[in-house]
Amino acid sequence: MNELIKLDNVTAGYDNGIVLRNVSITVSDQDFIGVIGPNGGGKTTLIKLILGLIKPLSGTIQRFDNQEGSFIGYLPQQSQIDRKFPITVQDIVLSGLMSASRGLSRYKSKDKKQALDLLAQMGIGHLAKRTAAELSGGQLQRVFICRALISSPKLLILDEPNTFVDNRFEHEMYELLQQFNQKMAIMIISHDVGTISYFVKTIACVNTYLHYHPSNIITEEQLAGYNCPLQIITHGDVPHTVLQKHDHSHDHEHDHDHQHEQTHE
Amino acid sequence: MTGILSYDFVAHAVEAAFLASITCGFIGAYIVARRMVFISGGITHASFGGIGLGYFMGINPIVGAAFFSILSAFGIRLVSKQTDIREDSAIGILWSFGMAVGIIFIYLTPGYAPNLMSYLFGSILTVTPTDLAFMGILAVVTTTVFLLFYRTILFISFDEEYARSHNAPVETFNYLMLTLVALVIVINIRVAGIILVISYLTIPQSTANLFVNDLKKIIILSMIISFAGSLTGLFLSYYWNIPSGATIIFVFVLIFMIARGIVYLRNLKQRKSSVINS
Repeated sequence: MNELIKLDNVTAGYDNGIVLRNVSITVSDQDFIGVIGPNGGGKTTLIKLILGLIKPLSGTIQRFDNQEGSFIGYLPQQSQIDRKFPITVQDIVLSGLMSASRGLSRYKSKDKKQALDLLAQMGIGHLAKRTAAELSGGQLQRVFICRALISSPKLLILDEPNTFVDNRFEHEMYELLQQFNQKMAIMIISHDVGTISYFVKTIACVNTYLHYHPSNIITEEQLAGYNCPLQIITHGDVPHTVLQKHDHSHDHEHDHDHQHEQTHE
Repeated sequence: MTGILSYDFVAHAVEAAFLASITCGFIGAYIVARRMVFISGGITHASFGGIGLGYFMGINPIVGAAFFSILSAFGIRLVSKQTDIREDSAIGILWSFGMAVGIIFIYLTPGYAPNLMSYLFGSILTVTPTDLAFMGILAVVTTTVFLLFYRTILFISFDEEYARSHNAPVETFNYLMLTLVALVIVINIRVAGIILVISYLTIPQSTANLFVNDLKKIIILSMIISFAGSLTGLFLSYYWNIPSGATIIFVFVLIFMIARGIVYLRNLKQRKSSVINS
């Protein structure tokens, strides 16, 4: 196991306050980490730190990379994308090859062929000349996966990849991710704790503090202990989530803001 | 019809229309794709302050306008990034402030400002060889930047955060493009005027966007629409003796509406045939 990224005692935040406190986590090359936690708990901030988009207020981040720019592949939330932007699918995939040193050097036919090959592998080769606006959510998600993969990253980060896609593609995607995991580490942010826990190897619960859980099975008691207000997870033959009624008598003494996802109750 | 081309001022107007179509084709497509139309309107109007300053100091008003437009473009970006003032509010403030400064300076300038109306509404028939030289240089610069950096510009515009995560020179390019936007606006004020220059940057591009949805194609198609519309407007204004700038914009909108109508009818036909087929 080679270490890829190591966060040591990192505190981070914005003008309006601290979002993450004393976070330490190491990502190694075989990892498949599910990042869970409530909205506003700091999941996205953690990703931005790893991507180098923001600097920590204190603590250190070490990247053990020897390749520039292409070390991490990143799948942003689809809500961040202007879907009417006039760009072709092939160009979206090519944009995964951007780097600081690129500057004047043009994208060569080798790069374009690689983009087309990736699209074909994902079963959407015929869409290469289409534009973002013409695609469905699931198709666009595949395009973004191709963009993340074109630089052959050592770490793939996915931010809420299951929004905007249908259930069938969601399952296909998780199976693809398990294939990718043989070649690269994966971090996946999700609010759908039940489904991702079926696929991931370990879980990081982020709610200002980060609690690393070295298995993919986590109980409500453990979540409560982590001060991580989320629904319980179980495993069965098919990925599913058991939803329990909120029971105040079982509240932990140190966890009074324990809340379940309202929509499921 | 070709007889009027023998007049120098008409030939200059045609050249100006051609160069305006080139610069506005590139920059307008960029503005429309990035949804920067409002900030461009702000830059345009803020530059009026520079025109007033130019009159007051006795220098070429376009030089003053270039200075004001670049400053306001950077100002809007810095203010909305560094402070809690929202971008559209910052644009509104600079937009009206520039106009106010311009009016005060022109009022303070002794004598009558003869070309004031041409800066407000444009006057493609009075462009000088100097104006054309400026427009030509800017057309060469803009074309060069887009030929060299097309994909970098495209990728940063599409997903700025992703570009940042790849260490792409996002800020450098944003300021480079903002400078080009400001310069293209100012240079084309001579053609279309402060009130109307935004039409050169948005209407042909929006028309092109009805048919194509790839930045490269929008750029090329909008240049063609822009040049054709300018020539049509120019000749109509010449024969009917009405203001050229306004006539060109009128033709642009007419082309847009016809294009929209064509797209509507085409979609209607497609829907009908798909109903019949199914």
